Amino acid sequence: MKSKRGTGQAEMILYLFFAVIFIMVGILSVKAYLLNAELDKELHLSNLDFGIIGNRMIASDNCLSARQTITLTDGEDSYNVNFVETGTLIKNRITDPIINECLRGFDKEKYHLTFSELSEDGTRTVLGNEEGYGSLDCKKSNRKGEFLIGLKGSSTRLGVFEICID
Amino acid sequence: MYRLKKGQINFMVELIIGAVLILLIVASSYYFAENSNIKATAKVYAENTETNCYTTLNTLTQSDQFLNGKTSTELSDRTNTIEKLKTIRDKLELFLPNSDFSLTLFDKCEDFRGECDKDEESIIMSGQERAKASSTGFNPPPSQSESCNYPIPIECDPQDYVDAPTETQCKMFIEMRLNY
Repeated sequence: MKSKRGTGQAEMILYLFFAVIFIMVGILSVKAYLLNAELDKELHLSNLDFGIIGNRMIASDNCLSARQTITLTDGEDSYNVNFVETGTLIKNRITDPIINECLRGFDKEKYHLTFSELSEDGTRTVLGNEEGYGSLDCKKSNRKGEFLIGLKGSSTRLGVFEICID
Repeated sequence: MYRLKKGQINFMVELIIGAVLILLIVASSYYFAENSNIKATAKVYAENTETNCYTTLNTLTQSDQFLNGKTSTELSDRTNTIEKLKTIRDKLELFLPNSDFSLTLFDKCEDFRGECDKDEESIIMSGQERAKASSTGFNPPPSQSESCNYPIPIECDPQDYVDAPTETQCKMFIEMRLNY
């Protein structure tokens, strides 16, 4: 009886020994596979930057957008609800300090923005910095667009926001 | 010393041979793994949020610089739609000379966040002409274009729209496509 139990234990030790060896070799071979894997990333994020900078300029009342406050009354209580008028800018806010603050964190060489006021015949008058903002050459841009925007404080209440992103 | 019986020796030999074979397989997989060379290229494209199209269309429909009054109000009477659309097109070409676009008026819009009607059956007709106007550089439309829709409330009998979803009842739609 004693010797049978001894054989069973030896078998169990052998099973465990090989099981541990196999698992270790398995893990090491997976590691070896992964060590030899090369991943090349191609990131085309111009749409993302286009959206972020564009929205900062025309959809944020901390930057240039107009804000509308609606007062709701509920019995004796009244509540003010603020709405950002996306796409409608306040002409007086298009100044260097405000725009530079809004563009903080972005590399100046990777964007170029201009703001213009529109007259009835389509003539544009540049607002803010005459040269625009940012130093990117728009001819080399990957993503560009011109937005027709509302402009509070202008006679036609229309303007154009142009943006180029690297 | 304890002596193994014949059956036990056979069992041990089988066990060792089996283990060595499996070890060989695993070791060779490890060896080939060392020699493997995996190359993968991931291209990540950020999605276009279509802000340009939505902002331009929203400004256009709320402006009074295109027609003799607010654009959406003028279009909602459904008279001379083609002439009005062409006037809007000409003005917008003047205001945004670097943008190519098309404008279309729809009676119904099945997919408000996408294309209103791919088969163009819902385009408003004026006589034999469809209410559609494009800038000079838009035809044929390139693959890189944004698309957006704006609902315009119209006076109507809701009974005519019983089959339509509530959000599209008594509305017409102006669709813009803008190249980028």
